[in-house]
Amino acid sequence: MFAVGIMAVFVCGSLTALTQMNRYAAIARLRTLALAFAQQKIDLVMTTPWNVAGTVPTILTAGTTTENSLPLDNDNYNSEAGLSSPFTSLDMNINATRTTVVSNVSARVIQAVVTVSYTYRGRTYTVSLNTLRTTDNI
Amino acid sequence: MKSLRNAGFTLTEVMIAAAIGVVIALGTAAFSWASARLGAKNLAYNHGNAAFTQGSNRLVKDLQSSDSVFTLVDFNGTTYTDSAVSITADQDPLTGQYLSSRSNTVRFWMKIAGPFQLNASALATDTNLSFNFGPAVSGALTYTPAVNDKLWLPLINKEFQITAVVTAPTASAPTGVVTIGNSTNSGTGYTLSTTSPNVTTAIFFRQVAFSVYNNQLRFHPQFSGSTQGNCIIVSNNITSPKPFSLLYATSTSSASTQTNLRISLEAYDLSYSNLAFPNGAATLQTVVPVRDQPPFVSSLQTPL
Repeated sequence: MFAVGIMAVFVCGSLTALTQMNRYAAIARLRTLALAFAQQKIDLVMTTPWNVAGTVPTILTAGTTTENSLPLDNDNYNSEAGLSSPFTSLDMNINATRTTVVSNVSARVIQAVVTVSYTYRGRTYTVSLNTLRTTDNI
Repeated sequence: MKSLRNAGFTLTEVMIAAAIGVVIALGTAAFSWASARLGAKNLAYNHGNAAFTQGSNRLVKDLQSSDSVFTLVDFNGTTYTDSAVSITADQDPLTGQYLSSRSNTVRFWMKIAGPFQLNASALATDTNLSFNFGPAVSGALTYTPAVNDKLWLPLINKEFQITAVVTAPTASAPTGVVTIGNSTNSGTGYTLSTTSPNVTTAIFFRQVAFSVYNNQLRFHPQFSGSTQGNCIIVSNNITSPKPFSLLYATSTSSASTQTNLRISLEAYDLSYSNLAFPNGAATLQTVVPVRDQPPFVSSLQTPL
């Protein structure tokens, strides 16, 4: 009985460790994808033309923008004919929320903070990037 | 002397021992299978993650550095042909803009070297321009001009394609002469003087491309002429057949600005052929803009 108990503990411990490793791997993958979402918004902030003599573009106007239900790890359009692979249906359907907070640092400088949050196995994860942006001209 | 009656087992004992053995064997087999499966799944997750992380890093870095708009190309395994791009009803969730038809290759121009100083005056009709491509770094020039590269003269804000390299520069003789081409092959149209205090420089660009084929994300460092197919494998395990598309501002836009490339890169570890792993595939979605807007050079591949 003692030997059986030791074996049972070993088996349970091993499987739990392996399962936990998979969870960590999935978390790492989702983090990479969330970073890409945040980076995309930062890119938009950085590349939107901003002429100091003109009006401030909407994306650079102070305020908070929230985008819900962004597909973090799947692209439904990839199931269309010619765009799918045998593995397309094996991705994870997790939605993310992206919040962009733009604040004025000065008349010609804004700060943008982009936060992507998502829930995986009951826990909420957050990735955040921020940047400063100045006008294209002075 | 031992009794022979004690030398063996009863049938009942043998059956019980066999049953225990079967249970232990089945348990061991189940544990081994589950362990192997979980271990393989972990590798699959990590390999898939590595595939699109490598791909994403390289794509974002190079695409942001583009100095032209993006052009979609179709590769059929043999030839590369510019895509006949059209708008679709698919709306990109990240930007709200509309996707074009998809493609497996995208080409664009990147600054590769310069500015280099023009070191011989040229008449408006001269088609040969001489530049100093030095200094050498670690005994080698940082750039050697090649046919099909472009040069852009900021002074007159015009781009030209290099149609021939008349004198190739070397580390010891860094002056090189290139022939420029345009639609009329009539030179720059301006007199370019190098007599002091006049000075003129040029920046050089090369066309590059990313393609996805045979489950590989590939980078083509010189996407022109006979070198078009030469490529570096950025990452394996890419399973999207056509990951690239352009964005249209609205559903009724007649044309795309081609300044934003939408990427939908699916990755899956192809090392395991049986029993596909649930959640084993990952899809990276992003939109990469040209950082320098408006871009420096056109996307045309022929002399302007």
